[in-house]
Order: sequence, then structure tokens, then C-alpha cells
Amino acid sequence: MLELHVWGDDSISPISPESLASAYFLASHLAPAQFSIVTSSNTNLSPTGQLPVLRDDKRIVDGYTDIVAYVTQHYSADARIAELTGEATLLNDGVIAYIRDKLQYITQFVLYIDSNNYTNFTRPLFQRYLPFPMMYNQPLKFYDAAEEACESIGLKVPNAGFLSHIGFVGDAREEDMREADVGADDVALSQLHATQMLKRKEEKSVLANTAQMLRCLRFFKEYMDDIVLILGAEKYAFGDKISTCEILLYAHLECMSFPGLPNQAVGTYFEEKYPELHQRFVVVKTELDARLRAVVVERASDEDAPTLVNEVRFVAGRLFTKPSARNEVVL
Amino acid sequence: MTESSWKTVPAPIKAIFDTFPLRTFSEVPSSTPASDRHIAARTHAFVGAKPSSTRAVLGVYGLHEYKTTGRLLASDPLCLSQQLSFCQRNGVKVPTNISLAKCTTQSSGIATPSLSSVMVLSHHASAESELPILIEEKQGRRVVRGFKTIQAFNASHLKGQDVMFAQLIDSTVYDAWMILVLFYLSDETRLRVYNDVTDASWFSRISVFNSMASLVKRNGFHLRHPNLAALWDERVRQRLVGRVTPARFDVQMEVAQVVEHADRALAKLNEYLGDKKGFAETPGMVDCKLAGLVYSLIRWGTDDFTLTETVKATYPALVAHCEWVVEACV
Repeated sequence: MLELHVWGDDSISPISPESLASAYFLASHLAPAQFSIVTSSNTNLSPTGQLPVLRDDKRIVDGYTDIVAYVTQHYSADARIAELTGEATLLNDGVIAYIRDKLQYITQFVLYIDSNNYTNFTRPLFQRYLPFPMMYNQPLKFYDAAEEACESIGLKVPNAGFLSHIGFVGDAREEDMREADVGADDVALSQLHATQMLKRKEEKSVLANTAQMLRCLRFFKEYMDDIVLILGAEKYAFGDKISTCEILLYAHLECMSFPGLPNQAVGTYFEEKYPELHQRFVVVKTELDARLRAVVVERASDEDAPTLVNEVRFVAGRLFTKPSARNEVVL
Repeated sequence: MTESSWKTVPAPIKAIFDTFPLRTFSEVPSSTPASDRHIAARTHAFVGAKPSSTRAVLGVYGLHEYKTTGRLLASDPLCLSQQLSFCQRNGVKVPTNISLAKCTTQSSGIATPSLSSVMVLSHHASAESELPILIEEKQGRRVVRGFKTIQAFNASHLKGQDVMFAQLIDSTVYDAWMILVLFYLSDETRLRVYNDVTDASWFSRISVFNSMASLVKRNGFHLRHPNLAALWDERVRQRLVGRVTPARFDVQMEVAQVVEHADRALAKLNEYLGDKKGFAETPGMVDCKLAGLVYSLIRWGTDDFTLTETVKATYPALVAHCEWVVEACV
């Protein structure tokens, strides 16, 4: 039986759109009895260190596109996914590449770089997925990746400074530094003055975050405009069934507008700017969720759980195997 | 008698500061006849380019001869795509192997600085450490456009389906080229393609590390494959220090995955092109992107890099398309 390992605990986590998309895909392509979803949150299960991972009896496949390719090739379809040919299949792959290379950065911005979302939503989630002390390391890794990705498209990280990644709001930004020079020696003259100074600082911080969020929305619109053009006006982009690129798109949109997020700017913007697509998204999401409810979601077994003992075992395993057995590539 | 205090400057020191500067030299010119010749020897004018007040210079890593036509193509696929697209947009042909330096001596010392041309540069020439760059000179004003600006400009010319096709080529197919460069090419070939150096001496080999380190960060490769990008840094340390820290992931599997993704994309592109000439009637941006990559994969592919053989043997439409685009610019 197939086992899909994803991020999550009792349900699939909104921090990983590809986990969600893979689950949606399997739930649409296969019968519920053919596979199970395991919310192991253990990246060591994957040969390339990323979730989702699909474990078959013989093979381990990771990443959304590979899972789709593998399952389509080896398992007969339940005829709920569009079978594409010619131009449509190329276009479908193009949209997936576009989402993974562009829209993905917006999801990362919403989950990690927006300080309100990161501090109050994303980071605390890891405490539910990983035991002590591993829950500290993993969000930092994702934060760093998100920071690098966002900066590559020109989305500067607000409040980037010492300890910013753990939610510390410093004033290391250039403008703040300039202002700080002027009022460096500012000493609160009274209780009232101190309160005002603090208020002004908070206002500035909110302004900086808003400015970045506006830039983020501009990019979001740019990317969505390109995608909407391909999706067209019908319920499904290619024929009368959902395609794999739409599943990935809806998974990303769901993560960006997840109900628990404190800052819902992108979700609200999506709803107001693209009302038709939002309507389609709600309808399709309800269908996909209904299919997903029929599937068993399990917790990881002791072997697969991301415990400290398993981590030590994994690292020791890598250290003490010979290079030839490790499949190392010599450069 | 003057009163001595800590505020007065001692006489000998005051004498020195009063004397200097003995002489002020005029500024050293930033270019000399020798450096001009050196630059001209690395610059090749586009064939058919007309002298004008506006001149564009495309900076690339290296050039090589196309078949035995005497025409020069950029060795790196992204530079090549840009070169082909430049030819298409401006109605010129790719340069010959006669550099501006030779032109100047042949035509009795007449310099031809006003022609648009291709120049071989180091990646250090760009502020972002990545090529191609486009240097525009207009009435003494000089604007250098980096790779990201060029990309944004290219993207602004794409619409609808072409955006998605271009994305697929730019990410999935391009990543296979990076795998070829990082894991299969010899140092000699890396030096030829990215440093325009033909002798692989011990000294020039050092620069391979440098150019590869900047290369893994180009076009988002390190964002799509952080493991492989980090691995390169690790391997540089391994060569220098001789110690290997085992990778946390299966390198071979990830490399095979990237190549497989590219193979799948190329197969679909091959099927899509079929009997068609290209994505448009005349070669456009998407055509140039694809042709640049397919050409480079075939030209520089090694025997053990299976994708090259697959492209040559199983994707005739891609090979024909590549020739169509390149021939249109030669």
C-alpha cells in the first residue's frame, strides 16, 4: 500500500502546499483504500530531505511533480484527473514550473517573512510537529530559505536585523538607522514621553511591514494575472476535470489564505481582486476536501517519527557508511 | 621666545607638512593603448550592425566557433539565447571571429567603436556577478543592464502561453544544463565555457571555483536545488582541505531527478513542436531560449551525460528547431 508522508499532525499542515497538493492529487486519482496519509513531519524519510514523500513497496518518490508522474505511470486512474495530451500537457507543466518558481515565493513571504504571521502562526506550528529541541532548528531553515527566495525577486525582508528570524523586531533597517541617529540620545523625559516614543516606533514598524506587504501584493497580482490567462473562465482549465497544475495552485492559495493566519492581506486581496477565480477555488476546494475526508490520516510510527533518537541514528548512519555506499558523486 | 605647549606643532614636523606635496601628478588615464587593444581583441562586432550614436555591447562568458563557419556563438546557454534574441530583434547576424582589434589594423587604423558587438567578459564585470549583461552607450552616457534587468525586459515581451513555456525552459531545462556543468564537465571545458581560457594550467584552474560559485546562484538554481548548490561549496572545501562531510541527502538521486525532469519537459516540447518550425513564424524569445539550451546541451554534453544522447537520438524536432533558430542568425 502507498504511504504519503507529509507535514502535519492531526491534519495536513498549511506550511507545505506541496504536501496538501499531493494529498489532493492522490485522493482524486486513487481510491481511498489504495493509500494512506502519514503526518510524519520527518524530512529524513526523504532521500532529498524534503516532504512530501511517497513510499511504495519498492520505491521512494519525493516532491509533487515526481509523485504525480510516478502514480500516473504505475496506477490506473480513477478518472477524476484530466488526461492531457499535446499542447495542454506542456502548458500544464509550464504552469507548475511557474507556480514553483514564482507563486511559491509569495506563499513563503506570507508564512515566514510577514513577522505577524511567522511569530504568531507558523513558528508555533512546529512545536506541534517536532519534539524538543528539534522544533527550534527547522523553522529557521525554512525562514532562511524564504528570506533568500524573497530577496531574489526584490521583496526585502522588513526588520531584517540581528535575531529578526526569531521574531525580534529590531530597527536595523536603513531608514530606522538614520532616524535612530537623530534621536539616539532621546531620553524619555516623562512617562507620557516614553509612551509616545514607543507608539511612534510601533507605528514605523507597522508602516514598514505594510509597505512590504503592498509590494508582495503587487507581485501576487503580476503572477496571478499570468496564471488566470491560462486557466480561462470555465470551472476547469483543461476540459471537464481538474488538472495537476490547478491542484497545486489551489493548494498554494489555500495556504496563503489559511483561516488561522493573523495577517490575511493576501487572502482578502485574492478574494476581492479575483472574485470569479475565488468562487471556483471555493467550489473545487470543497470537492477536494470531501475526497480527502475519505482517506485515513495517521500519525507516524515510532520508526518514522522525527524523534531525537531517530535523528541521531540517521546522522550516525550517514557518517559511518562508506562513501561508495552513500552514492556520493565526485565533482 | 615662543611658548611651547602641547598645542604647537613641533618645527620639524611642520616643515615636512609645509613642503608636501612636492609635486601634484596628473591623473592616470583609465585606458591605455595597450588596454584598448586588449578590449578590442575581446570584442566582436555583430555582422550587419550599422555605426550609430547608440551602441549596445553584450557581455558574455566566452565565445566559440559555430561548426566551421567562422561565426562566433556564446558558449553559455543563457548568453547564447540573449545573443540570438539580440540578432532577431535588431536584424543583425552573429559576429565573425575577426575581433575589432584586427578590423582596426586591417582598415588602416580606423576604429569601429560605434558598432554593436559581443564582448568576452569575466563575471566580475557585473555587479551581480552574473552574465550576460548589456552595456548601452548613448552620446557618452553608459548604462549597464544586469542579467535580472535583461530577464525582466524579456519577460515583459511574453504573453499568455509563452510565459509558461519560457518558465518551463528557464527553470526545468536550464537546471539540466547546470547539472552538466557542475557534475559532468571537466575543468578544461568549464574553463573554456565560463572563463574563455583554453590552457587548463594549475593557476587558471583556481578560477573555476570562483566562477562556479557565482554560477550556482544564477537564474534561481540555488533556490530550486539548495542541496546541490550547498554541495558545491562543500566540494570546494573538500578540494582545498581534503575532508568530506557526508551529504545529508542522496546526491545521485537528486541529480538524476533534475535530469529526468528536464528529459520529460524536452520530450513534451519535442512533441509540441512536431512539424512546426517553432513557437512563432519567425524565431521569438521562447524559440531563442529553447534553442540556446538545446544547442549548448548538444555542443558541450559529455559521453556519460545521457540527456545529450537522448536529445540527439530521440528528439529530432528539437534538433531541427535549434538549427532553424541558429541558422537564422548566422
